Amino acid sequence: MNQKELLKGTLNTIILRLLAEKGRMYGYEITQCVKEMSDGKVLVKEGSLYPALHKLESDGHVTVEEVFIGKRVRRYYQLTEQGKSQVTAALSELRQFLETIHHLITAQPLASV
Amino acid sequence: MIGLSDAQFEILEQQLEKSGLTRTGLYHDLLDHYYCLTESFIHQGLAFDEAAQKALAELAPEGFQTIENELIFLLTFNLQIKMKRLLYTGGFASSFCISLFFLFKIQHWPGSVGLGILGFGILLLVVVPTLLASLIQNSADFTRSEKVRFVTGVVAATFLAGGSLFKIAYWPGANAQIVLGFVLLSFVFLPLFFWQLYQKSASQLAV
Repeated sequence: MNQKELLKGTLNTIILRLLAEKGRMYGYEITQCVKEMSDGKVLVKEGSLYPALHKLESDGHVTVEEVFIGKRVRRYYQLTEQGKSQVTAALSELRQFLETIHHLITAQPLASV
Repeated sequence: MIGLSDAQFEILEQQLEKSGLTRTGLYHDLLDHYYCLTESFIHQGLAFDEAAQKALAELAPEGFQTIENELIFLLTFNLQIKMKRLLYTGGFASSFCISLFFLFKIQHWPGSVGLGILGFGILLLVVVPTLLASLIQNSADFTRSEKVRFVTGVVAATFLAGGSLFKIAYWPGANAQIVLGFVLLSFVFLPLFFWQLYQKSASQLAV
């Protein structure tokens, strides 16, 4: 299975977590941040990132602020109150899932994640 | 980082405009991303043309439209599930009522009129509009001949269901609708359906 498939279910949580930490971010910034934080091991594909961001916007988890940078428009995404309340639950759900997967592939409980 | 010139920015803009994106927010996101990526490749020492090409390959290897399609799919996923539920429930209810209508009619049992009105009514008011909406929503996935077949099928079903309803209720215009429905069904829909079925089956053998 390639990395894209593995990342599929976790992308929203990664976005929510980053926005909770950084306040507001634009798409390119998110891809670079994930790349840096993972030492280049995790590459968020733009083809998945923008649909996910727009879906989060449509669900009311993030809001957008548009800023003109020269001739182009930069869209900054930030969490809404509803989005902020989702972060903890989403992180906890992902942690539990990772623990289960870790246990499945090593037969060892993952205590430190 | 040194920014791009206006002329270089316009080249990126034109490249994106060619893709025919319809969602303004996504367009702005992708243009900004395209700009940033190109700029970073230039910063790494590439010439503008090469940098823009590399950025495009990284940003949208399958085209910008694929990203928009993925977004539309995500945004309409719940709606599509609801539509499918409505389509299949309505399809079952109408076919159930119509088959019972024929049984009651043949046996001269009472209640056939009600069953007919219900069956053809559900077909006309629920199944056909849902099918049409679903076809419009997924039109990008179909070839031209498939679109012709689907539209003809929907129109034929509309005429046949409407004509049958009119017939049951003894309203004028029933025969014209039924004839039109059968003409479309027999001379356009069915030949196209079997031709496409043959093509599909032949191509499966060829693989």
